[in-house]
Amino acid sequence: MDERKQDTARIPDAQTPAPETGDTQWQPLEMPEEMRETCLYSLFDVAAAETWLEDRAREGWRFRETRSWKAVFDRAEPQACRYRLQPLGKKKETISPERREVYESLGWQYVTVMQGLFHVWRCEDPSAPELDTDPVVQAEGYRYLKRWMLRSAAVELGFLVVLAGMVFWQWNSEAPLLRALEELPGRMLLRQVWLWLILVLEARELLGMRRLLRTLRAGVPLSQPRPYRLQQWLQRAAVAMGFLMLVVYPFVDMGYSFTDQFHGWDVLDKSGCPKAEAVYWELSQTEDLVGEPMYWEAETKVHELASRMYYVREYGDLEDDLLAAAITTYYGMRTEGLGRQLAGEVREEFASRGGWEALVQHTADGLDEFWWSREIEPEAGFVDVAGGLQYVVARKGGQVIAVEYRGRTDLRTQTDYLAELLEP
Amino acid sequence: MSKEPLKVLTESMFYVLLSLLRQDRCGTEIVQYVDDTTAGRVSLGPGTLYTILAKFEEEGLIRETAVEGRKRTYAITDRGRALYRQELSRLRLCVADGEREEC
Repeated sequence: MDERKQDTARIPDAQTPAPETGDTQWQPLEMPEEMRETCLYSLFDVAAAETWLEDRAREGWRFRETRSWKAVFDRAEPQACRYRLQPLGKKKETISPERREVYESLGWQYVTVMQGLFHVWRCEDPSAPELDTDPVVQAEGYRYLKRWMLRSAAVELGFLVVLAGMVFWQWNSEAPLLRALEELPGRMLLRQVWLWLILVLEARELLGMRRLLRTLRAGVPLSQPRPYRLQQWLQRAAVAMGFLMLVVYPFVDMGYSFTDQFHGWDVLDKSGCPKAEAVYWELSQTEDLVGEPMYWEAETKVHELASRMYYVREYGDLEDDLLAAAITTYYGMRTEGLGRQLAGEVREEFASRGGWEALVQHTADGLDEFWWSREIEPEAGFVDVAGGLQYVVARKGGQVIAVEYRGRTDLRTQTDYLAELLEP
Repeated sequence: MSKEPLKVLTESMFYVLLSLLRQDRCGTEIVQYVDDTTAGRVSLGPGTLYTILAKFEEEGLIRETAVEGRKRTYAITDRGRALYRQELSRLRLCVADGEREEC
């Protein structure tokens, strides 16, 4: 995780005396001069941040500055020293030369400002007094930061409320499951991980603020050492998820419907027909086609909620220059409950389309559900069915199939064929 | 933490006011005075010192009297003296109560 700048340095290898002289031999070694490490997620865990910087100093890395979410360390002699974070007394407060001099006279060196909230001081003299010797006064120094924290907490709580509202709205909008299935595979999972991570991070931030405020209010010193690894991992996770959501997510637009884009991959074989494993309505099984059927599209994909999905648009010529067509969408949902919910959502979605009769349920052997509808005004030529177009939604266990069909066959007579298609 | 004016002083605050009773002093001189007076019993860290100075200035208990280069000198105000006396009385009462109980 650490990025070490590959500057080389000549350092003595004290273990290897030069053969001729016995003096310390100087050998060029590849030693990084600079190291960058992920900062802690929340600086409100002040004691953890101080422990972290002190640990690095013991390992030979002297803290220099922060850049975005990274802390920059310089190579130095390993030594035990103290780091203390002191909150800014006001916005963009700078340390006056006089103040710096007094601190230095008492053994404290100024390092930098960390994330615009804390002055960082370092002390290498073990006999030097603590930076803060009076916890009540120390709490007084947090007045500006306390206001900042309260504002920040209010903003973050507001953000959480908005986020919760969005989640609530999403799961109460029309056909949430269907919409989720239309997205690119992995996107829903990514969003869920992102949402939970935000919740965890916000909760930790708020708890960290609460703990700090309570400590200060009680007038007790911050307890050290404090663990900080988890804070670093949280920061890494936050950066990674921020990158994914801000950079990757916008490239994958949401809200596509199957009619626009299935977000799947081709499932056609070399002859241009769907592969054997594809589940779809074959026109040749129910219509007397003139010649071979043709396929506009045949795609498949897997999804977090569906082990397999297919989308096949097929057409074929009938006699009298009529065109038969079947647009099949198949969902192999992971559970029967999901299949039931999806079938309901597909029906609701269909009900919003104009020009169709209402879907009517019919009993069908071998199927758990069978719903059928037809176009209100038939197109001339399709005499066998009152409407030129038919629509079917069928379910068997977790498998759901929706077919938009143009042909002479009445699909209500083809339930056995559908049951066979959905045979596991 | 609160914005309310100080009513009770901590030990560090008390000694900072005490250090300015007889003469104006800069930061290092205040630290030195407290260390000498208390024979090292009260240690005044630089963070504590500057938080106190900022708070006292804000409340009008002390004021800056001179700036020479990097050196800033502070003096106690009448308000500061009044608060010091009030705190001293309180401490005397505490000591008296304690001694009475011990007798």
